[in-house]
Amino acid sequence: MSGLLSTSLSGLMAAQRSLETVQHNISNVNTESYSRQRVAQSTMPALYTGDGYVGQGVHVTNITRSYDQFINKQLNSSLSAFGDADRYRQLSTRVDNIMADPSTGMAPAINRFFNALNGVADDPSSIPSRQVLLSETGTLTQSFNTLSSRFEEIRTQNNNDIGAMVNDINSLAKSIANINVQLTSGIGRSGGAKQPNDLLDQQDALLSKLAGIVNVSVVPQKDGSSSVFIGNGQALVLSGSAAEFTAFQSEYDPNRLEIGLKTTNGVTNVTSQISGGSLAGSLRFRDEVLDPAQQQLGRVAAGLAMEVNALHEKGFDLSGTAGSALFNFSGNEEIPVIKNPLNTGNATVKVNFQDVNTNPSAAGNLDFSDFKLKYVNAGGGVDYTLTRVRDNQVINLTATDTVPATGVFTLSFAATQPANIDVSALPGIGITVDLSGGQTISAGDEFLARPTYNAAQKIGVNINDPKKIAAATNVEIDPVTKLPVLDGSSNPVIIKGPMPTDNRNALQLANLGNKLGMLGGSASFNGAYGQIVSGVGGLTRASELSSAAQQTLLNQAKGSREGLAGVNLDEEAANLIKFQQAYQASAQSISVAKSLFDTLIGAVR
Amino acid sequence: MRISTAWSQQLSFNAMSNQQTKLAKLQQQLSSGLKISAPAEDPEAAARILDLDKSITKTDQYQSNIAATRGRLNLEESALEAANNVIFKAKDLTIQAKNATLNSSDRQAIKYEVDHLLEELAGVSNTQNANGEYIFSGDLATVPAFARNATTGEYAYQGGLQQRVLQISTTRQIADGDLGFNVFENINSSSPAADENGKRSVFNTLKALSDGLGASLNATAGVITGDRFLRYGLDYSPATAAKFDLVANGGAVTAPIDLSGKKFTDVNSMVTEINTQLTAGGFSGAIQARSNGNKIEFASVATGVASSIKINNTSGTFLADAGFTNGQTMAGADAQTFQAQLGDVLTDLDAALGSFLDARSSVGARLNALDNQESQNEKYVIDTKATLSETQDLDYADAISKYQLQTTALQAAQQTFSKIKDLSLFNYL
Repeated sequence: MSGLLSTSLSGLMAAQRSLETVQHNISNVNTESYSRQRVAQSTMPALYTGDGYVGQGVHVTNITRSYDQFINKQLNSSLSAFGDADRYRQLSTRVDNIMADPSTGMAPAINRFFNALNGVADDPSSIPSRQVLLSETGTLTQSFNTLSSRFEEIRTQNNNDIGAMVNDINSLAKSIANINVQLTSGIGRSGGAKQPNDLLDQQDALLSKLAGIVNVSVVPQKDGSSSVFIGNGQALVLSGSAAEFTAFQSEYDPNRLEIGLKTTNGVTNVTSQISGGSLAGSLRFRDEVLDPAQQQLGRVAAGLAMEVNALHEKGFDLSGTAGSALFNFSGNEEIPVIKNPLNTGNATVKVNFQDVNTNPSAAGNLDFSDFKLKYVNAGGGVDYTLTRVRDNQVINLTATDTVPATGVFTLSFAATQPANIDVSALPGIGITVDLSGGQTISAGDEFLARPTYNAAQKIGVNINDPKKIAAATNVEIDPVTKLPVLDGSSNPVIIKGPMPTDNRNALQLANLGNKLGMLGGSASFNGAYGQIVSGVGGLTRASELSSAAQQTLLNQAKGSREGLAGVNLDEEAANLIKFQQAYQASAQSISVAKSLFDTLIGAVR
Repeated sequence: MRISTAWSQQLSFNAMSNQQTKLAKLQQQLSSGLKISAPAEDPEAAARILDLDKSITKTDQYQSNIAATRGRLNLEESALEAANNVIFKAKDLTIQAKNATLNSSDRQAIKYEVDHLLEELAGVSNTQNANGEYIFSGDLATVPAFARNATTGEYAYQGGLQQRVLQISTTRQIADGDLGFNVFENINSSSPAADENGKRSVFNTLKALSDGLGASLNATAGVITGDRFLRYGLDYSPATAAKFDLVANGGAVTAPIDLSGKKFTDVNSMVTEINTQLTAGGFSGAIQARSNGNKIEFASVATGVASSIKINNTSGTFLADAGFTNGQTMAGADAQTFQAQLGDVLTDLDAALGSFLDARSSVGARLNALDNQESQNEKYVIDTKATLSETQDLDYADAISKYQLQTTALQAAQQTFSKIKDLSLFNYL
């Protein structure tokens, strides 16, 4: 008889647990990463009697969450892939929009500059047309500066983002480590039999967030904790302890952030191991879109300044004096060279743009890459190696073994080069090493030259007097034969005085706009800029496509996780009714038991 | 398949959000009228648009170059016409003057008229354009093309040596005028008064006419002129040799000149220095240095056939620098008779007319070329604009129909969302 009550009670209790779980599911319908829970119940051990085994009711064995490790893993890897692709897309779209923005207007500025040169050629003695040229030159350099500084803004913001993401990684890693501790104790409490479902969901939520920032591999441990690794096995979280990431400045460029992992021995650079996630997207954007765009813009600025200045300096101004540089970017302008701080020698290296008047293809052969010069002292004709940073291609320099180890000497390109270096198109830069005054160089010392990186930022106008524009060539012409008069050594005779309406140099300058002098003689200045636009546009387009593809994959992964673990309110409503009825039935059977007792007691009285 | 409630909401939202993105994109296209708002949408077209824009602005610039050139050539054309009229009148007067029945006062009256014509022609040759440039002065258009020498009374060309050209297409340049030197000065002549190259300036021809009418039929002196541009002087500093001899009157006088180590900033200072050396050596009675516009010339003081001048190099490069050849020589001529002088004048005026005609037909040919190039450029711009429009402009019909379709799709998504949202088992509990 007492069995009747306790069996009913067990049903009541089980129904109550189930109702509680349904309520929990309903309450968490919108909780992210929540996995719906189910009550697992089974029969109580039956009581053996002479009549046989009598059922003793039900008991709750476990409360489980709907979870599939494979689906979760897929979700995390999709999150990483999408985070990467989408961050890359967001950032390149910004560069793309800047390129498209007519207010930055690089292409119209170049066109107007050459039109203004044509204007001076039309009317070389007119001060207004010279003034127009000067202001168009100003607009042109301004456009270069503006575009470059907008790239710089994006770089600064990207750096801030990278710093913030590194902080996020660190705080997520700490939280994961904390939850690892709680999980170990929570699972330990039941001897491993019962899972702390909500804590596990929290852990999964944190791991998903982390996966969105950086691709991680998660290894579940027996004690319920999760170990988290990045790259090729750098531990980020091991049970209760979390490592710390740091963003630090590159030794060559304070504006370039590298990712490091703090260890007891200092900081390990793990930048190259970062893959996936928005952090990788930011880093990839910087290396594939931002830096090349800025360097290629710098190449257009440098090439334009080199070509225009070289020609302008050959001309003569309104007062008959030889022209000076039009852009403050002289033909042998020094290129920023950064010493590796780890260098043990104190030698200085100077790199300069070659003069177009000496090497006519100096502007055409400019490479947008940075170059790394290393003193290897390998003997046998190889003392220095020059590496083109963009593709790590080595360019041979001439034997320097014969060069005395002191003084200033020039390194020049060797006549024989590796197969994929065009000997006729070596970068238009000159390199000198200064070992004078007791300066030394040691094997392994490195120098980074950045020819084009800052060029667009640095370019400016050198002339502010319209009379100083060198529109004339002052070459003396025989008025009858219309041929230049030659001197004793067959050079054209230059008239040493003002020839105010001589426009020959202005015409040549204006025709530079049509010259295919850039990119190895395949593009005009405008064409070279157009290639940056289409290059960035192409990368952005590709990133949009891959971001959309990753979005689809992510949605599929989310869908399959939601299909398994998500809460369906209709289902819960049905369950609610089901358990309510079970509860009511159990309650009813208690009432039956009560009336049975009453009957029995009434019969005895 | 199970669908979680939150996810089904998310899916509906994703669908609407996609529709809205597409709608926003279409709206942007419709309001800007452009197919492409950022290079990423069609990178290759973005680069092509830049190229096409460049071609159009460049060609527009060529068109304005053409307009400028045409204005200048038209001005030159009318100046040449005026010069032609002057010469016609001068020819009439010459023929009139050759009439043997005229007395000296009649000739004097004609002389006044000729003098007037000479001044008028000088005025024409110094025509200025709207910018104040002397159109016949070449690349030295800030100075008048011809100036009257105060001592000899002759007009000498003092403009530049090179005619300015303008770019009228990527590959074509065209001169926007002619040098006064070629039009007015460098005219073939067989008169004894022609220079050592057989040339005589039209101004000198008119002056000879005037002189003849004024009964001053003079013998001419031997004169040699260097043909180099010395406006800005010569520089033999600090220690460059520049020595030469001037030999006059068939070798009767030999004057050594030494300009070594000296620097001259213009032709006049050089003339002064040479004349100083001639005076110091006692040769000033036989030889004279003069400036002829931008050139230097040496003249024998004596006139007639016995008069001659010759230049010999001693050391240095002065002869080459000033445009003389070693041993260059020229003898004078005796005075002509009145009829002979006027006969030569008549021939030379015809030669001048020929020179003007050459210039005018060259101007006409250039104006023609401008017209051709202009219509070519115009056609090119129209074609390029058509390509540009095809590349960047929106097809409105297409975009609007897409817009309507998209709006319907969004409305459908919204309506189904609100319907599905109402479906819940809880409504029936």
